[in-house]
Amino acid sequence: MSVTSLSIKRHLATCGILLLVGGCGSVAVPDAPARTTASGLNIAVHVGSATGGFCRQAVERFNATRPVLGDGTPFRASCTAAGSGDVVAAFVDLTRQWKNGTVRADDPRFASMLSLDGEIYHSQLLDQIDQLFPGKDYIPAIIDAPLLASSPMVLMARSDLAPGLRAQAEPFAALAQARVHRDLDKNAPALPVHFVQTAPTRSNSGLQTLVAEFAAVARKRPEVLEVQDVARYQEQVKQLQSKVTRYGVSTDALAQAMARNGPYWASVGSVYESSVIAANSALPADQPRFEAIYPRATFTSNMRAILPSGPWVSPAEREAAEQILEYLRTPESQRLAAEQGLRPGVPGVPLGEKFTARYGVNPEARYDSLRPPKPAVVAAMLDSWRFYTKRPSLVVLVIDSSGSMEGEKLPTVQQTLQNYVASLGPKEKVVLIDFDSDIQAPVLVDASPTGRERAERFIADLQAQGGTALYDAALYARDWLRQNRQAGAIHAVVVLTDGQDSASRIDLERLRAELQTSGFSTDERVAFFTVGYGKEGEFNPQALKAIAEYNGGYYLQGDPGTIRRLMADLQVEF
Amino acid sequence: MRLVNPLAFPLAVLAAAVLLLALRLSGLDLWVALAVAVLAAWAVAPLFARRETGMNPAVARELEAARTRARELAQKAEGLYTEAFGLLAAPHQTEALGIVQYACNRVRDLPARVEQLTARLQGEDSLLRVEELQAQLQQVERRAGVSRGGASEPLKQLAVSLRRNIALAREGQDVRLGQVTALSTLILDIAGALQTMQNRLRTTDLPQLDDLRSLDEQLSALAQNVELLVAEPEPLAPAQPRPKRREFVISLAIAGTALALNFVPLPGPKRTLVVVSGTELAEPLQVLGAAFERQHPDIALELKFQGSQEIVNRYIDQKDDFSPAVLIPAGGQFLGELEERLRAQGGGQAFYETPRPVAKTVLVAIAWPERARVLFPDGRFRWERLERALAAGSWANLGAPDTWGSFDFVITDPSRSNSGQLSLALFAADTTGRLDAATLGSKVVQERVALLRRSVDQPPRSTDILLQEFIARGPNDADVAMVYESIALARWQQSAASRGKPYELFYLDPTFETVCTAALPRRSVDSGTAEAARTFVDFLIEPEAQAVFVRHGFRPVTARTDVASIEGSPWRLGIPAAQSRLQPRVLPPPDIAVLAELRRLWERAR
Repeated sequence: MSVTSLSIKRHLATCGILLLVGGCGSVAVPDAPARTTASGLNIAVHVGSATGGFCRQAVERFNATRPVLGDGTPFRASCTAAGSGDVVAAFVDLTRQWKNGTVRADDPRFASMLSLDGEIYHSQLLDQIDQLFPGKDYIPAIIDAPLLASSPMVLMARSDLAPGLRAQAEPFAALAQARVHRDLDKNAPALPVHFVQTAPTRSNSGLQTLVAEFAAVARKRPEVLEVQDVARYQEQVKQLQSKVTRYGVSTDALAQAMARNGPYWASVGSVYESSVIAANSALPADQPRFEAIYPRATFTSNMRAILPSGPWVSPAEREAAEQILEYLRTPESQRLAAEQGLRPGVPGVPLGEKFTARYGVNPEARYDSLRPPKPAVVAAMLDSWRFYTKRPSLVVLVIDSSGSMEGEKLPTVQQTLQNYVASLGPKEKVVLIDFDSDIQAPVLVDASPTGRERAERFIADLQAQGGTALYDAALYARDWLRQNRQAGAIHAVVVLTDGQDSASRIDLERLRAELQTSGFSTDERVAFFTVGYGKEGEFNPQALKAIAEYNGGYYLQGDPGTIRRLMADLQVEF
Repeated sequence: MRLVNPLAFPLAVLAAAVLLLALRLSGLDLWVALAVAVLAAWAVAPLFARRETGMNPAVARELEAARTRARELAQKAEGLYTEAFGLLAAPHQTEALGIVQYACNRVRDLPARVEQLTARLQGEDSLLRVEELQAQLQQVERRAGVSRGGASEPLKQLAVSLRRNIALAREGQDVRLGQVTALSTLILDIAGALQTMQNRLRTTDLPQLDDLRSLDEQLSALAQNVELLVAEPEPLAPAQPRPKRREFVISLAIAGTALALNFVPLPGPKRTLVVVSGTELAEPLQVLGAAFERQHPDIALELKFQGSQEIVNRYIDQKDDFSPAVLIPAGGQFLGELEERLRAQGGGQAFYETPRPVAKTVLVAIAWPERARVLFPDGRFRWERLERALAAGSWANLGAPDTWGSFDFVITDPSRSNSGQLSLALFAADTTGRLDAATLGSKVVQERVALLRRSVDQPPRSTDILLQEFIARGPNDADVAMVYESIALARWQQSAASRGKPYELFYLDPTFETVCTAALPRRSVDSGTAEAARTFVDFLIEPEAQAVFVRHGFRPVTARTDVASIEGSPWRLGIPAAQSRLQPRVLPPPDIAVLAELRRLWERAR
C-alpha cells in the first residue's frame, strides 16, 4: 500500500482510535465527578498509564493537605490514567464536541491538567488542537510544559538473553532478522524470538517503539524522517512486527505478563525502564531477573504537565492545576516518582535505590536521545501500522447465550459485539461462536462490508436460552483455530460467559490438558482470555482464571456497565 | 435643602470618614478622596438634622387629632358668629352679639395655637426640661390665685396636668404627649362652652347677658390656658445654652482620626504588587519576597516569572491578565526597548522613575565532564570548537563513543529570552570581535546563526527552565548549555545529587554582563501602588537583600563586595573554575538594534 493512499485514510485511523475507546465521535472517558460540588472544586488530571501510579499517590498526598485557592475555595484533585493515545483522543474529541456545541465548556470530562508518557503524543495533541483552533495556543509547546518525570524506552529481556541484545548496534533491526536468540548471541539459549509491545494507536510506549523501529531500519533520526520514508521502510518494520506475541494498552501489564508467562510467551519486550523496575520488584527472589537493554538510540519518554488554556478551564481550575503541578514537582513528590521507577523531573532529587543493577537498570545509561518526528510522519506511521505492518490476528469470540443471559445482559453483549466488529482493523479477523447447551456454527468476520454484514446477522440472532456447555465450547474454539490457522497471525480465543459450566461433556481438567497441547510452549501459541460477565458466584472465576492463565492470557470480570470498555481494551491485545 | 454644619452631627462625620477610608483603600488619590468625603459630609448632614426633628408617632397622632378638632371648632365658631348676627339683630342685643363675637374670635384662633405647639414640640429635647414645665405651672397657679368663677376650674385642671408632666419629666420620660393631651382637653372644654353658648342662643328668645358673660369668661379662661400651654414660658432663670459643644468635639475627633488613618499605612486589606521578573531571579526573589512581606505586612507580592524578551513583548501587547507594578528583566536594554516601543505606540512616560539595577551576573557555559574533556580538551571554552561540534552533529564524528549520540547544545529561545540573545551575540561577535552592522550582515555570521538554529532543539523560554531540564534529563539529552553564572553556581550541587557528577563551569572570554534592572511601569498602576513598588525596589538593594542575591550566585550592584566573603555564598563551595573575581573581559550588553537584528537572523533561519 502506498503512503499516499495511507494518508487518505488517516481520518479513518483517527476514527479507529476513537472507536477503540468508545466509538467514533464520542470517546468514552471514565465517568467524571462534577467539577463543582458543595465541598469545592474537583480538578481532573488525566495522565498516561506510565505516570498513573505516581500521579495517584502524589495526588492522594496533595489532597490530604486540604488545598484551597487564593479566595479560600477548597478543591481536590483526581487522577485518571489511560493510554496516552486514549488521553489525547478523548481530549481532542471533547474539544471538537465543544466546538460543535454538543458539550459545554464546564463538562466534567474536561481535564484541567494532562500528562502524556512522551513527547510524540504531546506533539500530536498540539497538532490536532491547533487544527481545530488555529492560532489559539490552547496547548503549551512541549518545552513550555514543565517536566514531571522521565523513563527511557528500553528492551526488557531475561538476564541470559540480555548480552546478545546489548551487543547489537540496532537491536530492532537485529530482532527483525533473528529467528532465535542464539542468532544474536552464540552463548544465548535457542529460544525463539517473540516480541511484545503496546499498540501504538493507544499507548505512548507502543508509538515510541514504532517510531524507533522505523528510525532504526531507516538509519535516520526520527525528526528527519519524511512521510515517504514510512512507505519505504515499512516492509522491514513489518518483519519485526511479525514476531509480536501480543499488543496491549498497558506497558507495565506487558512487562508483568512477560514475567508471569515466561520466555516462550515473549522473550523481549519494548517497555519503559520503569516497567523493568516494576517487573523485577514483583518477582520472587528465586526467579530469573530481567534486565533493561538501552538501545543506542531511544526515547527518553519525557512526561510533562500540560495545562490547557482553553475556555473549558476556568481561572479557578487553572489556579488549582498550577498548585497541583507545583506539588508534583516538589522534592517529596519527586521521590515518590523515583520509588515508582521514574526518573525525577526536577534537579536535585537522587534516583534512589531502585535505579541499580538489582532492579535490572543502569542509572548511568548512555544513549542517543531521539526527538519526535513531524506529526504528519507520525500519522503516516500509525496508518502503516494499522493497515500494513501490524501483525494480523485471528481471534475466536465464544459467546455464552444460555438462558441466564436474559434481561439486560444479552442486549449489552450485543452492543459490545457491534462495537468490537466496527473497530476491526484490516489486519484483524474474528470468528464468532454462539453457545448454550449446544455450540453453533462459527461465523468468520473481518473488516470488509460482507464480513460486517455476517456479524450483524450473528448478533441479531443471539437468543438467551438453554444451558452452558462452557468447556466444550472453549475446546471447540481451540480446535477450530487449529484447523483454520492463518500463517503469521496472532491466534487467540476469548470466552465470554455469565455462568458455570452445566452441559459440557468434558471437565475442566480435560480442557486444561487439551489446551496445553496448543499453548505457548508449542508452535501453535493459542492464547486464551476469559471474561466472567455478571455477578461473581453465578460463574466460576477460578475455572475461568485457570483457563486463561495456563494459556498466556488473562481473566477479566465485567458487568453491563464495564463490558464495552473491557472488550475494547481486550481487542487492543491482538 | 438648607446647608447644615456637618460637625454638629457626629454620625454624618462618621459616615464621611468611612467613605474616605473606603476610597483610599480602593486606591483613589488622597486629595480626591478627601474632597469627595467632605462633600459627602455636607450632603448627609441635613438628613441627620431632619432626623433629629422627628417626633414620637403617638405625639404626632395626638397632635393631628387636636389639629382636626381645632379646625372643626374654628369652623363651628365661624358658623355661630354668622348665626349670632341673625339672631341678635335688635339694637338691645348689641352687647350680647359682641360677647358672642369675642367668644367666637378666641375659638377661631385655636388652629394657630395648635400649630404653635406643634412647632415647639419639634426636636427630641423640646419642652422636656422640668424647669420650663415648672415655670408654666407657676404662671398657671399665679393666675388661678386671682381668677374666680368659671375661669378658675380650667386653671386648676391645667395645673394638675402640668404637675403630672413634671413628674414624668423627672423620671426621664417624654412628656410631650402629656402636653398635647392637655391641649386636647382644653379644646374639648372650649368645644363644650361654645356648644353651650350656641344652645343658649337657639333655645331662648333672649339670652341672658349674665349667662353669656359667664360662658365668655369660661371661654376666655380656657383660651388663656391654651396660650399658656403653647407659649414660651417666662424664664425663671437665665436660659442655659444648648450643649452642642459635645457633638462638635466628637465630630472633630472622628474627622481627625480618619485623616490620620489616611496618612499612615492601614492594617487590613493588603496592597498587592505584581512583580514580573526574568526566571533567573525566581529563587532569590521568592526568598526576598517572603522577607519583604514580613517587613511590610500591608503589601502582598505576586511574583511572576517570564523570559526577559517575553516580559517586554507581553507588556507591550498587553497579553497578561495582570498589571505589573515592578518589571525586572535581565538587563536594562529590555526596559529601553520597552520604552521605545511604547513611545512608538504613542504612549507617554513608561516608568515612574529611572530603572534601578538590583543584581547582576555573567553568561557562562556548562557541560558534563566527560563531554567537556572531548570538546574543550584544554579546559577553555572556544566558540570554534563548539561550531565544529555543531557541524559534526554527533559525538561519533568527534571521535567520542557512539552511544553519546548526537551533539546537543542548548540555549534559550533568543526570541523570548535574554541569555539566548546574548549567546547568539557572542557566537556572532566571535567571528570578527565586533557586533556592528557589517559583522551581522556577513555570510559567516548568518551561517553560524543558521547552524545554531538547526542544531538547537526546542529552546526553552527561560534560562532557569533550561538549566533545570539540563540537570534532570542529563547528558543523554543535552551536552553543553549557555546559562547565567548565578544559576549555574546555585544549582551546581543539585546536579551532583541528580547525576552523581556535577557539570563543569566555563567562563566565556569575552562575556556579557547581565544587569537585572527593576522598573516601575506607569500603565494601570496608581501612585499608591507605585510607592509600594518603590519600597520593594529599595528593599532589594539593601545590603541584606544583596547578600541573599549573592547566596543565589548573583553579584551585588551596590558595593564592591567580595562575593566569597558572604556566608552561604556558592563561591565558598569549592566549585571548580568558579571565579569570585571575574577574569574575562566583561562587555556591556549589546544595544537594542543589534539584539533586534540578531532576533531577525534567528527567525529567518527557522
